[in-house]
Amino acid sequence: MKSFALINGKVVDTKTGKLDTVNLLIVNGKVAGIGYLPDEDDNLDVIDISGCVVIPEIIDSWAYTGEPKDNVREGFESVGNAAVTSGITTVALAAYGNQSIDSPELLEAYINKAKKECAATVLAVTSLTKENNGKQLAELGLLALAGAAAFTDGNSCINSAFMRNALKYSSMLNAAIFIAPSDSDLDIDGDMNEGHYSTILGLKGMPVASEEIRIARDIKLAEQYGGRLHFLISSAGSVELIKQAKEKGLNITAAVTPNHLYFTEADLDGYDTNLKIYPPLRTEQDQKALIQGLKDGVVDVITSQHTPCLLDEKRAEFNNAKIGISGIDLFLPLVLNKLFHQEKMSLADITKKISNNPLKLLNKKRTGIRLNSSPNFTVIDLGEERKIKETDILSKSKNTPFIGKKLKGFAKLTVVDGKICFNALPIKKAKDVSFTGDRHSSSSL
Amino acid sequence: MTYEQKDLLGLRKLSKESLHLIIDQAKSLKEVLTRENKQVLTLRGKTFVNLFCEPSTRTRSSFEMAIKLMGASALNLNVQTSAFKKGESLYDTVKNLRALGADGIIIRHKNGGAPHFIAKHLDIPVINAGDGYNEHPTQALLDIFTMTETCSNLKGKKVLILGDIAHSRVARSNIWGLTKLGAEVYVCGPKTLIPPYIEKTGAKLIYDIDSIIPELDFINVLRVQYERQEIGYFPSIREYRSLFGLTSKRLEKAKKDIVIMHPGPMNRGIEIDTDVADGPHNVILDQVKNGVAIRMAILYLLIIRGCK
Repeated sequence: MKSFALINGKVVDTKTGKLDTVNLLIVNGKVAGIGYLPDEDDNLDVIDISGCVVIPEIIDSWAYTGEPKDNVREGFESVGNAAVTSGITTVALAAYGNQSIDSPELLEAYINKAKKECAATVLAVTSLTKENNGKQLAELGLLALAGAAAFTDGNSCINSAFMRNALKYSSMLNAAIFIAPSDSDLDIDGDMNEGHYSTILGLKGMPVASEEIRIARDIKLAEQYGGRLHFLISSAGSVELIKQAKEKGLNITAAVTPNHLYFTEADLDGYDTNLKIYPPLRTEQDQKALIQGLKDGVVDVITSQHTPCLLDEKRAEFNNAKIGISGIDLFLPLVLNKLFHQEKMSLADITKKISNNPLKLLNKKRTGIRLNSSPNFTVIDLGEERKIKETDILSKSKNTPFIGKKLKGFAKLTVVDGKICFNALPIKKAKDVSFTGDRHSSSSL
Repeated sequence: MTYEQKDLLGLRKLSKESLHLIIDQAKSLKEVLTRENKQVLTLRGKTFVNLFCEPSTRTRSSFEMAIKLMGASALNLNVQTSAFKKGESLYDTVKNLRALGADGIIIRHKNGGAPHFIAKHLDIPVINAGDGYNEHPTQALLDIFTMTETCSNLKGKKVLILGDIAHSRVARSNIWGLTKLGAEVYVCGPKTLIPPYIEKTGAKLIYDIDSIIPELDFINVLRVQYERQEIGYFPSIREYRSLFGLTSKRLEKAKKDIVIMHPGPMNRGIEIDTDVADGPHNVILDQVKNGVAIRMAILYLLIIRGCK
């Protein structure tokens, strides 16, 4: 379906947050008309999206797959299908496990493969160091030229002197370093947050101090040497550190996962290995601080941190189970259910966390919905409520604790580069539609 | 009244009624141990697997003894000879044991929650014989059983658990069991060996053992592991003994009828002095004997429940 029209939609204006009623005509993957439908083509495919809202360019800014070498775990195809069904149009992917994308040649092959196989647009978060060894910088400049959107060594610990150089060097390229902050000495062999529940469950704790020490150190380094840092955070103390860094005007951003907004350390009573994640689930007080941080603008981004694990890797005793939650399939419903429905955040504010801010973070320009653009957007039914079934999970990894949970707010149609990649709405012919919408024409939204 | 759970995974979630039921059952089975012919054949034809994924002499032989005295067969597996070395998962191992015909699995594992994990995947009783730092319910039950022999009602009695609380499953299970029975539980040890928020479990935390000794009815001394010194938990053995060791000098200030316990194996001269370990207040070997009765009681209650 190369040409189609959407009618009666309401689009979130990413600048003002207002909802504009709109009709959209897309011909051959490009916006051919905004606000009107051509009267002459009776056979045009038309989708009535009344009752839905449209959010442009939803981005999951940090997810993992098994690509390039381990697509049994998760490949571009499976993650792409999961992403567009969830409502995501762009995913920033990093390589799982001991793989590293640390050269422009690897990155080029990676991006080419992604273009062929992934329904969503793929951005690459490549290695900060050679083989993620923490000792030698990857060719960051060449990687950036080849399209790297950001750099990361995940949660591995990098010594202060090396981190200083990594910051100085990457600041030339204006690319962010993504960090899942940890002091590996404190977190060694850790299973969960150190606290009341690690005591009563007899599991090895990882203290909040571990996360916060790394953040505090790296903020100090960035303050002195420059650079952009992006932290995945889980504690109230981390929110405070990020807030202080922002007040100083530093180029520091923070992300949280939906998982940390739904669960706390208390949910580990029962040893559900699907809840074994990094950073670990913390206390209720930490969870409240994360939500408040999102509302206050201290926390910039929500990311799935999709981490695919095989069944056998999770069907194990807690200490032996792998870390991570499969998060991409339910990313948008989890965000909407929690922040729009439960926390009453505005759609405009939510859009910032999943579109505007991730775009900035990844140095990506918004395509926009304007004449002749190849738009990216998602049509969402905010009112749809249903229980999650295992068959809803299209990614290869099923390691999610959300099966059986009821969520509200689902994508109904996802358009990537002007093409429909996912659609759960009926398609009609123009001649069968009684069109009553606004027929005024404009050039962009 | 019957035991309500499929498994015995810990004391934290066990009801007070079940706890009493196990102790009462152990009391009547202990009587059997004094007979000429000690064997009861209640569990004849049943097979229990002792799956010990961590070294153990006392607990494993106690279970083996209990199984045999109840007329059942024991299949002893330890990690050195098992399939783990070949890379088999714990899940597959226990599924295979079940297929072999096991009627119950007794598991010792270095990871907290391992018994809970296998219990979820098995339709036969699972008994936790110690999981990581989490729980060691049969040890705590035999400790409590031993305490009730000198004092039938533990309500208001003061019990000190002394030593490495952070890495002790025995301490945790004792805290859960004893607080359910209304005892006042104190824990004492170097701050580096006290887990966070221990007081939220209901135990009271003290660092000065001498200040509490005169009030105590029971002291349960935990084994201290030498290797803990290496990562800075405490500076030296002699300092440990001096600050936290149970010496006869310390005991001079204790009540006349104080009871001294140790789950074993003991480091004589470190956490407990030999004259204390062998002295008039000790019930350490009673604990061992009661361990068999407790384990017989648990096997019985779990299997009887399954037969209903």
